[in-house]
Amino acid sequence: MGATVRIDLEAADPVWRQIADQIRAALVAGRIKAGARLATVRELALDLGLNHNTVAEAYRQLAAEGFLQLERGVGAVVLDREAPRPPVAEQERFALRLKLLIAEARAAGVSVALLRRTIEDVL
Amino acid sequence: MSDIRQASLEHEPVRLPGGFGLQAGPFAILAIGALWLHRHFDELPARLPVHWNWRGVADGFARRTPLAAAMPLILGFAIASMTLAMQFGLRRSSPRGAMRGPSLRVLLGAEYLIALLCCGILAASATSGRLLRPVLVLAFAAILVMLVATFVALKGIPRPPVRNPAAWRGGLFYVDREDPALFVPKKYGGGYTFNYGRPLAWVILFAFLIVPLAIAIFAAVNAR
Repeated sequence: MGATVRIDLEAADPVWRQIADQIRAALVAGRIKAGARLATVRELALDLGLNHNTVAEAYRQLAAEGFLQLERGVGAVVLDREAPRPPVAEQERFALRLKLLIAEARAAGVSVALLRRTIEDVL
Repeated sequence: MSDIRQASLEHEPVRLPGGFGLQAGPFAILAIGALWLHRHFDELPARLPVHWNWRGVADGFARRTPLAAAMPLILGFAIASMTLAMQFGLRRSSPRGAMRGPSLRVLLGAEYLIALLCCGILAASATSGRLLRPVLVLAFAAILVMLVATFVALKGIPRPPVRNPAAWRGGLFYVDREDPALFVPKKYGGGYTFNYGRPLAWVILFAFLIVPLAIAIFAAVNAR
């Protein structure tokens, strides 16, 4: 598997969301396969030095989105999730968010090559 | 200042080294010592040497009572139990990393050393000091082997990044009430230290200092 999660405690985003976002990114990129067992809430909380509830919140979010199955005594198991088919308006809303984010990154001086690599990595 | 932390998403179950068989070894050694003591109690000297001066001459004695005779084994059992508890604590309540496995093995080795040392003390006492010299030689050799084994086990392990730099006091004491870890890698490497922000750390520390001392004082008082 080899996937890691990297958080910044000083970032504006809440920590649980950083964890959830990164695990989601790893899942949709296929870096973690269906059926794999993720680190337990306890393992991740100990490694990151965070309250268990923070990690549990991230896992609950991903379980609600259909990515994970949470079982007591087993931990978090990655599900074989079928991508939903959002309506066109919803897809356009995501596309606009992505455009704005890319524009913000370009304005901040992030190179096109890095942006391209990052998008390809996620896709 | 940003506080970046990273962790693997892989699930890595950790078991105590050696399984039940090796983990039970130190207690089996102490149990064999207890069995031997039970069978040979009547053959022990009426006054058991419990302290020797630097020349190897006994200068402290206790009356032969079951408690006084068994004291080295009781002490060994208490220390080995606490060391086993440390293994459980390290397994369950420390961050994952390359250092955890070797550290658990070092603790198991320490349990064997403690069990053998305590049986050696029993042997020296039960033979009125006749076995003191060989016991001392073997004890020093065992301690030396243990030190070398510890060095070898921990050598070459990459030092993990410093955990929560703001939580270190004087570079030695880690205090973070928000951190669920009871044991954290030392700031400058070479094993683990307590997270003093967790009340359980103080309880364990207190137990490690007080329990052996209390047993020794209890034994000294009862030996008079």
